[in-house]
Amino acid sequence: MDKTLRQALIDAVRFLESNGLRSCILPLRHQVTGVTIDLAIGVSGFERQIIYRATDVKISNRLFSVATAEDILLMKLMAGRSRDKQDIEGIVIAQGAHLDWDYCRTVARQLQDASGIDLVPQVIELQSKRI
Amino acid sequence: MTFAPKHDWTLYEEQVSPIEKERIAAQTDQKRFETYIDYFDTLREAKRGLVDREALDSANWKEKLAQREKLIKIFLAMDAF
Repeated sequence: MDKTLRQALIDAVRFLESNGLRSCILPLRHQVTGVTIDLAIGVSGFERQIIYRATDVKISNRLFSVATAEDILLMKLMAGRSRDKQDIEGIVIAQGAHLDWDYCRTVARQLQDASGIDLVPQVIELQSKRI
Repeated sequence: MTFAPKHDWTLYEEQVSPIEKERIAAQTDQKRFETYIDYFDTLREAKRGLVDREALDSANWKEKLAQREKLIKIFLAMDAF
């Protein structure tokens, strides 16, 4: 990553954290292309775990750190919007045979206890549908 | 539009679903990335032509923030367990 951009991001995160805005998302826009991305600050243990578990994926000869399919699936289950459900379906189709379902069930149980959302039955149903 | 007649897609789904699943499962990361870029560009172009684009962006942003706050509360509750 470009050093200036890296320092700008570090400064932005420090500013948000020092102002108690730990749950905020920082919207960024690339001036040349107009492409926007959202920088979400991962402060919780679960988010740090997602970052730690992320794997490098090579696309167009560049390495990108990408959250695992299991973690994305769990995040989308919690979000629960219709487009998230479509994404989940795609993840299960593309990754179903390789997904770590034990991990999904274990973390879904923890998230369920914290949120009150019935996540474990959804994971079990997805697992039963996998190809 | 609840009064509108709805087409039964069951037969189509039965015929196409296995082929579609096979196609998605066989894609490489590079191919998925290219497909995503294609969708992204199409949506970006479509948004440029919208009259009320700012209102849409504003509504999307509010939804995103609400979603983020909901998730953060769950994650912090999870940490407290």
